[in-house]
Amino acid sequence: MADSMCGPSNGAKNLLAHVDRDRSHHQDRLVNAPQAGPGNAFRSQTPLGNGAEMAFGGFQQGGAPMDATFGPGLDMSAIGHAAGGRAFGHPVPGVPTTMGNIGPGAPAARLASPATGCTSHQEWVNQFSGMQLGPSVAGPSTAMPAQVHPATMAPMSQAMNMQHAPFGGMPMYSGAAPGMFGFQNPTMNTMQQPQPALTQDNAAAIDVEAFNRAFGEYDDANFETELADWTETQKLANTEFAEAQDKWMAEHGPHLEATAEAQPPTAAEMEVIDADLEKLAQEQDKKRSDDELARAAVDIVNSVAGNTSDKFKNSRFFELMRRIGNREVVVEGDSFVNATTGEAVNTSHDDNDHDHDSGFGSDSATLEKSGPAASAAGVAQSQHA
Amino acid sequence: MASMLEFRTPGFNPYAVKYSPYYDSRLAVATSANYGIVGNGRLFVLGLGPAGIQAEKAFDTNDALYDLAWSEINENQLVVACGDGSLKLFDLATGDFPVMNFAEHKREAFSVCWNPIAKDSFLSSSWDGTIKIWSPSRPTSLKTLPVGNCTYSAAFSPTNPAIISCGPTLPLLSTGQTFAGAVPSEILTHDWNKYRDTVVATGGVDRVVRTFDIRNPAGGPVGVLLGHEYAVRRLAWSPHASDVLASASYDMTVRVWSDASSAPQPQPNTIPVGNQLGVMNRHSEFATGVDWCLFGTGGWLASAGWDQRVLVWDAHTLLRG
Repeated sequence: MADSMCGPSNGAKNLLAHVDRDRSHHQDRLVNAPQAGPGNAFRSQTPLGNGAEMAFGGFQQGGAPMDATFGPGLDMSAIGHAAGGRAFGHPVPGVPTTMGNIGPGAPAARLASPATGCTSHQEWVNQFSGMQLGPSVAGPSTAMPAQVHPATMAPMSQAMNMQHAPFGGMPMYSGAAPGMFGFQNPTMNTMQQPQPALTQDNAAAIDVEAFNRAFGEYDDANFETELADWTETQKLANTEFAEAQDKWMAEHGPHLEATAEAQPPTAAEMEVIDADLEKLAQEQDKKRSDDELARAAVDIVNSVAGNTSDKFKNSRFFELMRRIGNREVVVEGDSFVNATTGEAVNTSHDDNDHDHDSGFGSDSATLEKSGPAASAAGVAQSQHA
Repeated sequence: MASMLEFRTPGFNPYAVKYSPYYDSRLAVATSANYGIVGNGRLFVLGLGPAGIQAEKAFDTNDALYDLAWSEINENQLVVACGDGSLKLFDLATGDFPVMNFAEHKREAFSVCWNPIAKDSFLSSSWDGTIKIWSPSRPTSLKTLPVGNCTYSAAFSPTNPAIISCGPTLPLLSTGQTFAGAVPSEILTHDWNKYRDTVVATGGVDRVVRTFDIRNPAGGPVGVLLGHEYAVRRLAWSPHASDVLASASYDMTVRVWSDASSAPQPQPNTIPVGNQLGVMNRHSEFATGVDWCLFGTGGWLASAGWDQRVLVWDAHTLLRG
């Protein structure tokens, strides 16, 4: 289950991973999860989704008799004990015992042919029904060796659904008690279609030979192609995912350069690194101070937003603040520069002489007009006086 | 307006202007490039002459200049407060570089004041939350007074060399006693009355100029002056009249006031409101500096603003109006 929790994942990827490693496990996990229980649509087309959840849901509903015993996350020793005290607790090599949905041993499942493929569901159902109900009318279903066939059939049917159920809950019971399962075993519920027939014919002996033959015929005819089809589909899906993952890792993952050089940097390199870091710090500092300045400028402008006087409207300081707030002007070194052109911004007030004489200033008291003669000299004298 | 003299500080925005205590025709302007946001500073020393205002000397600094104070013991010296936290003592007779550099403040030094009585000391206040007292002949501070705030202004009492006042909250006494008058907002500037030695005027971001009597800290302001439309940046009591003061404001005006002290006894439980004598409206950017000339007939003012101009004018032209 960890597969579905750690990192980007999808059902297809996990599925193929299991197929590659161990077919039986793969199938174990693919069991009849989506099937809600007996009577549900056989190999119903559930949308590709959260396989784990669906599997668990299916397990809960389909495995009714064992529900009380096998809760989610139950460990295998518990399963083993519950299943009649048999020593199922021994982990199969490569199968973590903590994975509650994997049955130890699962011998029956291993026997199963990986009947994969989903191109002709209905056809398969019909064939299966036909071969069961047709030739084996007299066949005693009780004679059917439960050790082999139910388990064989189950994975087959499950395999049809495996795309929809990457993680199966089935092994919990199908694997836990091979040989214990009779027709009354919930495992058989996975064979919804055949089941009514089998139970009907319960009194009659099942023709094991006929069953095997029919099944073998089907296998011979369709299994290989269906498996090939399915594998192809999965590989394609997995390739797409792997490509997407590689792309993502190339963009966001750790870069090769970082790990390439494992040796400690030399003194000269350290100097460069230090210089780089210092530069980086300075850049960040500058950005921070730029941001602060822009914010302060906006605040300043806003603080006089209500002022409509000509003085404030024509103020060069507020014009500058507006431009700083709009990031049109930035601090570069010791001066303001135009953010786009890089030209220094002239903050001198010299070039707008007319502003000073345009009558902004109207003093509250009328100032006596003195002639030009009574200028600076007169001022100085008057102060001396 | 012919009776107004003008000096341009191209490329530099004035933060303070002060008359020399020695000469009626000399004044100094502390300026900063780019409104003091980035760049250098320049200290102008100006002379008033028949040809108008002439620059006698200019000192360049690496950082913005926010304030200046003339020395009381050397007519050629003055100290400036720098954006890098240092204070620099310049001498008009000595080259282009400061004769002393006082670098202890951790942040912008925002005001300096020379002690008018114990003339061998001056103080500085800084945004690092301290006030430091210095001797012009010593490179390290004599005393550091922690204030804990951005101190925008600090000043010696003109009548008691041991009393220091400072903003932005309240004047502080050098004895460590804090004056507890109620000021509702940050004080950007304040000044001691030159005649009534217990009266201080404050101005700040709430646009109101208030006068306090330090003898009655809990009594609230003894007068308020209403009229500025934005924060008050600089205050200066007249050296010639006990009730007159000038204020420069971010509303781009310089105003001359008479506080309510000369008015008849006010009603109890009311705060007297002073009179605005006149508005000088010639600056086209923030008015940041104003100072009275100590000499002559009185009433001459120098004002400076971020419009890169220094204006010298006679307040009587406003009063007569």
